[in-house]
Amino acid sequence: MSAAIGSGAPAGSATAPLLSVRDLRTEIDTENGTVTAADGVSFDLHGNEVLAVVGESGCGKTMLALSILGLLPRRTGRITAGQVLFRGEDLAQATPERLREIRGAEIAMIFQDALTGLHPLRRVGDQIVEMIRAHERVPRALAKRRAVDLLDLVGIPAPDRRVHSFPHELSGGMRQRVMIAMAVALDPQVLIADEPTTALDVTVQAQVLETLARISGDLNGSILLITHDFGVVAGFADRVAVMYAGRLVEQGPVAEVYRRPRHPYTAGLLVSMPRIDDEPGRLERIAGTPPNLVSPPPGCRFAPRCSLAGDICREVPPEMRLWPPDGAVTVACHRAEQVGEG
Amino acid sequence: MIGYALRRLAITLPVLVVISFGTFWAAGQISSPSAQLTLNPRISPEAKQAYIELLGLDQPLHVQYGKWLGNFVSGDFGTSLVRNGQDVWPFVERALANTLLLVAAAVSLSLLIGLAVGTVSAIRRGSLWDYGSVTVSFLGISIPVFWLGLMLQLFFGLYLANWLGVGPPLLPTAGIYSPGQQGFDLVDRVRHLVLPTMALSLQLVAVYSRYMRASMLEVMSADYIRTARSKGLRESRVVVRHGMRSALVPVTTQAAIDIGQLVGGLIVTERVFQYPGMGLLFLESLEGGDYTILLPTVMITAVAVFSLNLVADLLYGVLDPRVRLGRGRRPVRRG
Repeated sequence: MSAAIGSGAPAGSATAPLLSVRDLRTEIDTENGTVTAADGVSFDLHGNEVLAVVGESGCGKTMLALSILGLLPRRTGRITAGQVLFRGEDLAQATPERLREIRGAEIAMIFQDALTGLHPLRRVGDQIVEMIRAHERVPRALAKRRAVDLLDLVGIPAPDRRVHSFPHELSGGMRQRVMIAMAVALDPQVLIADEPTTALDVTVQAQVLETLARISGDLNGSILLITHDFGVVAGFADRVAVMYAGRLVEQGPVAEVYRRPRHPYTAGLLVSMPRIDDEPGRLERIAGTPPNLVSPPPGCRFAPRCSLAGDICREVPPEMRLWPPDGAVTVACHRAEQVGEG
Repeated sequence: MIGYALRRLAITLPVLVVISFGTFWAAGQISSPSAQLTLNPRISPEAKQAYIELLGLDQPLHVQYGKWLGNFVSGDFGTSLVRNGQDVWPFVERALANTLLLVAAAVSLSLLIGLAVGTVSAIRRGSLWDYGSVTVSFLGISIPVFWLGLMLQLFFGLYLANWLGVGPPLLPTAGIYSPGQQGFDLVDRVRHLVLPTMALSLQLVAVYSRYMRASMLEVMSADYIRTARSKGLRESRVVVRHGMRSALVPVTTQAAIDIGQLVGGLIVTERVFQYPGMGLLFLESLEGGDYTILLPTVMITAVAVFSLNLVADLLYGVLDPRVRLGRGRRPVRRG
C-alpha cells in the first residue's frame, strides 16, 4: 500500500485514511416503503483510531456498518450511491469474492447479540477455527491452538476446555468475548463493533469494553464503534460522529464535542445522559420522536424537534461545515453558532 | 437421555397393548376360523368341536388374547390358519425385509432430492425454480399414490417402450423378480424396485422440500448467518455448514415422525406393484381371513413406527445440543 502523504489528504491529517466512507446512501425496503438508512454519510477512519458513531435506535447506524462490508440484507438492502474506500479500494463496487477476502481478515465485525450471533449448534472453538481457515491455509490442529490462545487473550478462563463449549453453555459476557476473539483472530486493520455491549449487564459491559480496548491497543487496528451510549463513547473513542435519522450531524474529537456540542441534537443527547456528579432528579430529554425515514422532513431532519429551528432549517438541508472554522469539529446545522448560548 | 428413552417406552407400551387388543378383536370379528368347518358338510359336529377346542376358540376373548399376546411377545408367531399350517414368521420376515428395503430406498432418495430442492428454493426465493418446485410439490402432495402408481406402470411398462419402438418394457411393473428368475440378482432386484420407489417418493419429496424450504428461509435470516458472512466464509459454506446444519434439525425429526404416515402409501404402493412386503401381506391376510398373519403384521408395523418416532425424538437431542431431554416433558427448545 502506498501511503499518500501530503497529497490531497485533508488538512490536519498526515496520512490517507484507512477507511473512508464518501456520500454513502443505503436504502432498505420495508413493509412501509423504502427507507433511506444512510443518506449522504461521509467519514474517515484513520489508523490506530477509535471512531464512535452515536445515535438513537433506528437512526441507521447498524445499516451503515453493514453497508461497509456489503452485509446488508440481501433481498431488501442496497447501496445506491457513494463509496466505501478501504485503503483506496471502493468496497461498494468490489466483487463478492474480493469482499469475501476482506471480510474477517482485513475488516472484522462484532455484532450486538452474541447469543444469536454465534451459531447455536457449533462449538465456539470450531467457529473460530473456521474463521482462521477461511483465510489462511493452516492445519486444523494449529488453528485450534490459535483459537485457544485467542480465548485466553480475551480473558476466558480455562480456554482449552471452553473451545469445546457450545454458545448456550457460556454466559452473555463470555459469548461476547468469544465474538471478540473471533473478530480479532486475523489481526484485522479495522474492527467494526456494532453495539458490542448493549445486550450485556452493566458490570459485564465494562469488562467487555475493557477487553476490547486492551486488544485494540495490542493490535494496532482501528475500531469503528457503533453505539447509542454516549457514556461508552467518552471512555473509549478518539473521535465521535453523531448520527441522526440517516445523516451525520456532527463529527469531531470526543473531548471537543463533549466540551462544546455544536449541534442541538448532540447537545440534547449530552444533557439527557445521566452523570454521577449530577443532582438527583429528572433527566432532560429531547422532545418529540425521530422522523419517519420513509419520508423524512425536507430540510434539517432534526428541525421538528429543535428549539432553535427557523424557516431555513425546515426548508434547506444543512451542509457539513467546520465550526468554528479553525476548529476540528464539523457540524451540519444552520444555527450552530447559537447552540449552547443562552 | 436413556432415562428419557425409558419413559417414552413406558408411555408407548400401553398404546401398543390397546392397538394389539383392538386388532385382535377386529380380526376376530371379520373372519372366524371355524367358518369353513361350519360350511363343510363332510365334517361332523364332534370333529368341529374338537377342532375349536384345540384352537382355544371356546375360551373367552380376553383369555384368547392373553394367550396370543404371550406367544407374540416371546417370539412364537404360531402357524398359519390358511396356508396349510406353515409357520407364520418366515412370511412376515420376508415381507418385512422387502418393505424395509423399499422404505429405505424411498426415504433416502426423497431426503436427498427433497432437501436439495428445498434448499435451492429457499436461497433463490421467488425465482422460477422456486415457483416451479412449489407447483410440483403441490402436485406431488395432491396426486393419489394408487393413481400415480398406475400411471407409472402404464408409462414405463407400456407407452415409453412403444414410443421408442423398443420391444420389452423398460422397467418391470410388478413383483420383485422377473418370472423364472432363480436366486438373487442385484440388477433385476433394483429394476423391480425403481417404480415402487418412485411412486412412494413423489409425495415424500414434495413434503420434505416444503419443510426444508420453510426451515431454510427461517434460518438464513438468522443473525449467525450474517456473522458467518462477516467472517469471509464462502457462500457455499455459509449455506451448507451454517444454514443447512440448523435447518436440518426440525426437518429430520419431522421426517422421522412422518414415517408413520408412510404406512398408508406403502399398502397402496405394494398392492399396485404386487410388491411382496408388509402392506401386501396385510391385505392378503385380511382378504384371506388369516388373522394369524394379520396380527403380527399389524403389530410389527406399529412397533416399527413407534420405534422410529422414538429415534426421531432422541435424534433431536443429538442434532441440537441445546435440547434437554428428560423430566417427562417433550423436547423443549432452549435459548
